[in-house]
Amino acid sequence: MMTKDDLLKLVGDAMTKGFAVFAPVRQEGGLLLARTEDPGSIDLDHVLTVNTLKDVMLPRCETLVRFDLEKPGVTRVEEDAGRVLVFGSRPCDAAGLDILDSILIDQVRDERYAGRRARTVIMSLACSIFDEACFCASMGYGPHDATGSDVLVLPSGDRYILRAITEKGQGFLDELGVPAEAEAEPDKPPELERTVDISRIKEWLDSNFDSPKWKTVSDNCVSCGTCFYLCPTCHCFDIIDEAGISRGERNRIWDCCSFSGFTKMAAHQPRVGRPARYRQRVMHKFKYTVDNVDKTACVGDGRCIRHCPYGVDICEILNALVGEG
Amino acid sequence: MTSDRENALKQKVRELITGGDPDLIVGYGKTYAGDGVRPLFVRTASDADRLVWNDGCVHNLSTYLMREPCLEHIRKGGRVGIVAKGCDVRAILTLIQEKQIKRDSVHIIGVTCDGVRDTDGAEIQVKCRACPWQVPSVYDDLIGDEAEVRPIEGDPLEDIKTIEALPQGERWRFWTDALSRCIKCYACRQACPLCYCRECITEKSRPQWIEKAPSLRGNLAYHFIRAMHLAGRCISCGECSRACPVDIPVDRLTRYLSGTVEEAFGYRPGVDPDEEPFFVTFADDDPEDFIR
Ligand code: SF4
Ligand code: SF4
Ligand code: SF4
Ligand code: SF4
Repeated sequence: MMTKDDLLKLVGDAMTKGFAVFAPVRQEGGLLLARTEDPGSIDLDHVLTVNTLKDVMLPRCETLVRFDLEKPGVTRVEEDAGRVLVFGSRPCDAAGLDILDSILIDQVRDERYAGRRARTVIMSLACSIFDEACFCASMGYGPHDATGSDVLVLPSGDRYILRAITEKGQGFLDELGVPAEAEAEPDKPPELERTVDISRIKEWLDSNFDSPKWKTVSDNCVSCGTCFYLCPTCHCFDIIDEAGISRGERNRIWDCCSFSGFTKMAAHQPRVGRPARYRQRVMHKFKYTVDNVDKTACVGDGRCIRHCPYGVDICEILNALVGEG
Repeated sequence: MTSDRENALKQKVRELITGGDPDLIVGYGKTYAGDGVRPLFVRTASDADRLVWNDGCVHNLSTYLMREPCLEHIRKGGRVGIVAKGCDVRAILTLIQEKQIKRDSVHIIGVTCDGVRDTDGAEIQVKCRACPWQVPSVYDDLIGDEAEVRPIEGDPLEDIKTIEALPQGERWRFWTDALSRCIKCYACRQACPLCYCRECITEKSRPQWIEKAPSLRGNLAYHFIRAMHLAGRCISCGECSRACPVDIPVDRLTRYLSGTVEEAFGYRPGVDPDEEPFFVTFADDDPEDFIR
């Protein structure tokens, strides 16, 4: 059992051992999962950060190669190979990584993503609070779920229990000299208010690509990228060259299917109009990913609901799709 | 008060929708869960019963005019109804001035306004301070009593003046700090009723005009271009900043530039639907003292 101070000291020790630490930090722009060098800056009393673990594993902009007309060939931009600790992210975010692993490691191996995953220890903080947008339990996870985490920190009264989930997590605790101890009883996970029944959605999507419901179900959506970029599992990207007169670089940046230019780089945009593009979002999450890797690409963190500027609600849409009418 | 207007609004919209003209009306309703407010598309009389009017009606619904399903509807010769506060009406009038829609295509259901807030308990929005449009300037129907409107106190330019007062270096730091957070989700652009280009220069890749990456350089390029494209067009609804998930106050750039145009040319967008937009007019006596 650890106090909050012990926990933060542990993070400080990890910094001393050379871990680059990412944790929830309150900044201009809200509560963000960000690089920090000061354990005192870490905020543990919140529901969720605005951004997700995806930002650490699949950054919104990364330089792959550089080129210079004066020199032959291109230079591969190698990453800093140091170890990373993510501390205090939530179980839903870690569950998102489990889905990304299936897609970006098992299905097609993305070396950069896989490399970062291998070098990173995910130490999730189980939730004792939630808000009306949280629905992780309906997606098969939950406030105390361990999927995707290496170490799970569980609240128990005003103390915390550290549970190693993976070998990597155990190795991390050993390295930092956290003694194994008989486990105390964690608090009961909170019961969420929001529930959604997804048992019929896959079947419905299988045969309703052309349903008239798509036309009005996303009326409110203005086709921005907020829900995609804040989603722990959306992972579409674009590769672009940014060049000056003689030098330049090739970057990988996030992309999303709600943009009118999406996939134009390949040929054309086959999803014309907002209804078709919103359908792509639902299909990708609740059908295509299930077909491909047998997982639903939604963890119920609710960020898309919380941050949509126009109140689009994925649970309402799922209900409306399978419902009567 | 509020509920009076809400009832009057429901009744008016029910009447209009039952009459079939317009047969698509955008108003405000409740969020799916919780007590929030969000846009509501009204197609039937029972939809009209779900309308709300309160100080959470912050969204500028005219942003829907230039996209499906409203645009489709207008193109087919239909009319679209919009529930609009005075500031929102200015966006509609700007669209009319810029010949994007005809005055006849939209039925403006104006509502008198006491100011709005983003979330429950938040302060009244900056845009509402000293607002001259609490009673919309143009409308087809007006909900609410002009005589009951009480002015809102405060300085609507306070946030801009704070930045203007900073020394140049610090001003630059303010914007580079803020814009380095930008994730290029384009919510600011999508929320803006006047960012209606079918293809935005910032996303073009053949040729690529500006850096597409959400790097500081790419972000500065995007936001400076956007601000320039809204000079003399931004009607200060604040929607771009409200939509931003990482709280970047981008409206301060666009509002500032509209202020500059007003100072130099005495032009304010979205006031008179018959006025020529600033960018398509030229007068021999236009001042040129900004060219240095
Ligand atoms: S659902 Fe909301 S957040 Fe997502 S693209 Fe549409 S408007 Fe943006
Ligand atoms: S700016 Fe004026 S009209 Fe617009 S919401 Fe505020 S008070 Fe109402
Ligand atoms: S730039 Fe921002 S404040 Fe100006 S009209 Fe567009 S959304 Fe409104
Ligand atoms: S809404 Fe915010 S984060 Fe998104 S593109 Fe605009 S400024 Fe950037």
